[in-house]
Amino acid sequence: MSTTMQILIVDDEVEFASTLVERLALRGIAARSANRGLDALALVRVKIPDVVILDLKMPDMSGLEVLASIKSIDPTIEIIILTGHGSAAAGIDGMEQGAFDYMMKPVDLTALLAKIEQAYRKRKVAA
Amino acid sequence: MNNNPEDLLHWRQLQMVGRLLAGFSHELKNHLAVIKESNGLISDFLGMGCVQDEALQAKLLHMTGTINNRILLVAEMVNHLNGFAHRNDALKSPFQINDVLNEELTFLTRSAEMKSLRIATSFQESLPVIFNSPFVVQFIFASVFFHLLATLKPGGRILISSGQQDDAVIFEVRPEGEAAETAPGLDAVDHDQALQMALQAVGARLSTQSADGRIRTMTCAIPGDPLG
Repeated sequence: MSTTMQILIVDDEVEFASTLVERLALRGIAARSANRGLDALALVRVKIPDVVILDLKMPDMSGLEVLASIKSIDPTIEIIILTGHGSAAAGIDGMEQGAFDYMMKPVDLTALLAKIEQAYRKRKVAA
Repeated sequence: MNNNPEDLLHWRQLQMVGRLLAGFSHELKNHLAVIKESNGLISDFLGMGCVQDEALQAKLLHMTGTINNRILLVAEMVNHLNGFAHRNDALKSPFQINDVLNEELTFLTRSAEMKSLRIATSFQESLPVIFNSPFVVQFIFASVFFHLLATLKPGGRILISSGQQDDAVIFEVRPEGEAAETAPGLDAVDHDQALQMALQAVGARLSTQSADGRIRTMTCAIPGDPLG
């Protein structure tokens, strides 16, 4: 996996986001995290990420609102939705609004890494 | 299902319980995600050789593996709980019979295990999605399941299957093994008023095959839309 790839994790579960950042860092992947929608948008404006891992439920903005805002900044940023919902419906809603794919929490890291790699490749083709 | 005020109030109450359960299960998944990633990070550190003592490292790796496996099991249960909670979102909704049976079996299996009974399933694939009340169908299934659970001695098995019959989908419950000495009579199901009302509400037919004074199979046929 590319070492220049930039990942942004957006999740209001602070421990989840920070631990995932650390696990990605151990694998040579540069990742940042935001715990609120507005903070995520601020980070996107500072440095465009290649792939965003996005929770759907946050206190200040819904994940779908964050998704739309990120896409309005740069439509080639790929977004993987992480949802705690039991059904696929919420993830499918996200894909209809431009998300690359969705995964259910708790997620398998190997599967997430594979999904990140696919999303990154798609962005590189589009960029 | 009637839309009289009493039914409506009852449904709204059940709907609220469902919403609370759905929110609860959603939060559980968030907690599981934190535990899983924290456990994963410990595994990462162990894999990097952060613990010098090899025996201790092996023991800790085994423990993180156990934790991870349990997280996956609980996550699957929570998924089913979430699905179950959403079954009462609407009076009627489209559903696949195998999904509602599987969802419910996650919780019913424990009842069978407590009686030293096994559960086996044989679900027909590619059954049509039907439009009815999945919540009421789950109530019917649980009622039939518990009736037949009471007919078996420990060591037996309950076989649950699904299929299609004319314009209806069916589920079948078959108790296998020695009969319990205090097994309920053949007419127990007929006297279960709540079950009979539920069958009527979704337009389902419940048939019983018996032999030697014992129930051998109960088959429930559920139409796609009893009002259609």
